[in-house]
Amino acid sequence: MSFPDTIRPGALIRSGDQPSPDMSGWRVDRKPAVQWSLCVDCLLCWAFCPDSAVVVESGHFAGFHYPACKGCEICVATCPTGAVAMVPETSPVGPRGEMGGEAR
Amino acid sequence: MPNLRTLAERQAARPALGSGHSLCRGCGIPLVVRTVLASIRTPVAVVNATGCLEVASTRYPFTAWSVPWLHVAFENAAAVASGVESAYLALRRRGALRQNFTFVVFAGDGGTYDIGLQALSGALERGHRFLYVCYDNEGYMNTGVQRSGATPRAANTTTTPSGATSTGKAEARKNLTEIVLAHRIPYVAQAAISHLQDLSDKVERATHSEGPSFLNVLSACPPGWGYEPRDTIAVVQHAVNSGYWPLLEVIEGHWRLTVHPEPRESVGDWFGSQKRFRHLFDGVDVDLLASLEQTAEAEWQRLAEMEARDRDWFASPDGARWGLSD
Repeated sequence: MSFPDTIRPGALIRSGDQPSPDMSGWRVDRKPAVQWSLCVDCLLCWAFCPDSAVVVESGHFAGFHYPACKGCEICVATCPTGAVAMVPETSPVGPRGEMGGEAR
Repeated sequence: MPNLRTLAERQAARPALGSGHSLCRGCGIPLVVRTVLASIRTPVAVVNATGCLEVASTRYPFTAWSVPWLHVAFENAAAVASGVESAYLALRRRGALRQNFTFVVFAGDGGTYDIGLQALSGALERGHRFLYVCYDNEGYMNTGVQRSGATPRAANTTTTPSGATSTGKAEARKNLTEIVLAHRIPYVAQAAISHLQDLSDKVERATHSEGPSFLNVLSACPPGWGYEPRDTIAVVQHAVNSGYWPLLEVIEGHWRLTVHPEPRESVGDWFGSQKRFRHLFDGVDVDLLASLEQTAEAEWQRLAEMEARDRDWFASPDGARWGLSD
């Protein structure tokens, strides 16, 4: 079903009624990517990401969720080891933003 | 106190505010919301005043929230929270509800310093137990960067434009933290998005205090302040490290600075990081920058004196209950 069929009378919106909007169109030609060998898993990129685009699994950094990323580059600016960099949108990366296209 | 990793695990398990909101690239507001809500262990109910956060997180038919969330109007967030808390207490008395809830208000500086001040004052005076969080981006940003009571002196906004006959806002900012403090509530603090561990620790103390608590959190606004989105954290670090925005808490009336930048930067570094203060550096009014520096220095010295005065209290049995003596 598509909107507005999924909205109940009263228009109360519940979390999960609609998928999270894809914000990747806000990026301008560049996306973040990670070089695993430099990452020290400090989670500062997670803490400072305004868009919850940094994935954490079992308490550890696990890459980027690109549909949520608007390309603000705060993760690049706050990474203490230079493990995160912006790369061209068309660059091949792993499913979670691994540079070189290989998962850890 | 939970560290960042614990907060990340909690957020991953149950994100109170998720992605897909339409806040600007580099906006500081989600950092405030996520850190505050991940630091609270009980179920929460959120009341949101009108403002950037409310508009951008609830674009019909979407919502970025997965906790109970209520928006009524710009001026009455604290009054609405009062009603929610009273209803909760009534349900508890009847035995219809057994869970412990925490009530959190998020409002911007427009909805707190200006439009919602009366409702906030009333709720604080009545003593409703809730945490009021003001995300302070120093202006009415959602409607196009108009001045607010939180806009600092000399800032260029669309209603205080700098130019040939004006050096930006002529008035100093309102000291809301001390206005709230005058209500004699148990916990009042200032925090900033550059220091999230400090913010999380303050949320924990705020929610354990018996009565209303208030957090004034300096956020940041790339389009309104005039800087690149990637510099959001660095800009706010200048505010903290220069003493322009002191990170402090006032517990049962006793003052304490939670971050002592050493050495302290010049407030010129803070002003210089944003285009809204660009005219301070064009050489036309050199006295203004000097005057702003003097004001900031005097304020820092005043706070240092209050901290020195209250140090003994934090070491006393009353203060030791908060576990903060050095």
